[in-house]
Amino acid sequence: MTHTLLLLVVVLLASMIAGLVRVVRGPTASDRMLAAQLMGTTGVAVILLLSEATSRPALLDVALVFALLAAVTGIAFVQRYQAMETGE
Amino acid sequence: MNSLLWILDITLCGSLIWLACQTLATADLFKAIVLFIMLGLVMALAWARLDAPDIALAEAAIGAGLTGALLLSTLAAITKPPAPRTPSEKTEVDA
Repeated sequence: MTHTLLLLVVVLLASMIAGLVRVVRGPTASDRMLAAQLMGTTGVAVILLLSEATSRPALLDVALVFALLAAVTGIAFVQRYQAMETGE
Repeated sequence: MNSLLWILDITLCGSLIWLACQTLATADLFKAIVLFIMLGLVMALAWARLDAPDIALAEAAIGAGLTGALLLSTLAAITKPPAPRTPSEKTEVDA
């Protein structure tokens, strides 16, 4: 069971690395920000699986803060979206 | 299991170093901010992996979330000075 969970963590981490490519290459600001949001969501999954695999319930709080703060950066971006797109 | 943990740790270390180099080297400010947010996220994962959940908590909250939002706000403020928009100007732009 632990082995399966760790395997899933590795797969999710690989998908995070794939998302990084979009952050680096993405032509528009929205592409980059959406990739960042996707990676925040994947990060929550990684932390939850890690907490289950290594039996550390304290990591659940970290996942909670991850989910919360990914939304905050998204809101900050959307609020200034107009200025970002025309500023480029 | 042990080899999987090794793969995990090596991937985290490698992506951290790569992200740090990219963040410092990129010329586009918005890209640098998004890369900085990513660096905070991966750093929080690394702290969680190192059995330091409280530091991971602080890193995710302050490093990635709060600083990222503040930097985005600052970039928007410095790239486009607030232009006075009267209703007549607005219709001109729309037409």
